[in-house]
Amino acid sequence: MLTRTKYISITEAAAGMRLARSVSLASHGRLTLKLSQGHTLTPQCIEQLQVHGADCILILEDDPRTPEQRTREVEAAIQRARRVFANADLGEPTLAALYQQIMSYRSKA
Amino acid sequence: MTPATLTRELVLERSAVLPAFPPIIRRILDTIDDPDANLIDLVEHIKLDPLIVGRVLSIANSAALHRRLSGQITDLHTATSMIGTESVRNIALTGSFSSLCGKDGIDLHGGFVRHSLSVAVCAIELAKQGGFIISSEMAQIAGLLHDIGHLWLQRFEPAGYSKLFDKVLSQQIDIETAEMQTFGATHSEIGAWLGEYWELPEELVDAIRYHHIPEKALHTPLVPLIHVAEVLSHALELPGQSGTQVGRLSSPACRALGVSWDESSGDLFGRVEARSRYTVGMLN
Repeated sequence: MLTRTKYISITEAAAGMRLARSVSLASHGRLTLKLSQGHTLTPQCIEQLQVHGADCILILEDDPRTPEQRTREVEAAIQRARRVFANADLGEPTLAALYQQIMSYRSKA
Repeated sequence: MTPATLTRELVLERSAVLPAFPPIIRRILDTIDDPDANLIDLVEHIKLDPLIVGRVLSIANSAALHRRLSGQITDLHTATSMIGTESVRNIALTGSFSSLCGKDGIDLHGGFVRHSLSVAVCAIELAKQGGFIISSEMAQIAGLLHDIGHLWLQRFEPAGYSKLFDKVLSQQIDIETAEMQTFGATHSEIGAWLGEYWELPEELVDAIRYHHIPEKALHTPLVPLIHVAEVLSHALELPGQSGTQVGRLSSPACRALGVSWDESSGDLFGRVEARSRYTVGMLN
């Protein structure tokens, strides 16, 4: 099965989830907690993440969608983004850059 | 009949019937630059608001259940250990702000409170990666209050306010132009007058006043921050943004903030969406 990455808030974290990116937390310039990419979360390490001030983590999860479902969802996300920017002046470089990054982000839905 | 032009005096006169500015938000503002302020102090303020206490305990117990821990959490200090200081502060700010807005804030045109929470989330995340040092608390409060003028207009000028968005669409003008035509004042000015009335810090008042025209006050970091945060909240269609579109994004504001839109922006977008989901979910 394919996988995908997803940001979740720490309160959505549950045992068994895997980190898609390492987490390093520091306090007053000192490393207080480090979990490696691929680490599987346990109730204890979720608590530690909370206590040490983690707010969001990037997890790796199975993607059960068929290729057709994935394509449809990406298309729908891109169409919505186009509507949001329909009245934007994309000749303005900064706005164009934001639009480009939003479209890139939505194409990975 | 020509509508009356809204003046500062008129706005503040009517504002006397608004709820008092939330003491919890004021306490957080008072202690932002105080290194000796601690969580115990905040908890003592939270205890005075049963609705917020209930929410903190509810979320802590939900987190405990999620982690399959036994026992009911019944005190704030244990709840804080379970969900962390930042979560407690978030809940306190969100709860206080919701109380200030009342029912009107939930119903107002697609969710005024949800929009304000979404902008607050964007502001917090942008503040982390921007060139200025802006505390998370100040970024969050500025995000929550940036459109408070809308709430005033909806409450005290409902007839004119209800026609504003139709005017924007039919005349293809921006919201502030429509507000000037209708009321002789913009929601940003009205919000800033309210901020002054509540004796909020000057930088916060500036963020409210100039968030649509950040070029007027780029030297105040909160101003470009809230401008960019609001545009980002629209761009990502965060909760409370139904039907809104991205209009203008100030390049000087992005430069002042030290924010550029490139391959690394995907992380920002992901974090914002995750936090927004959680923060708006706290309303339910």
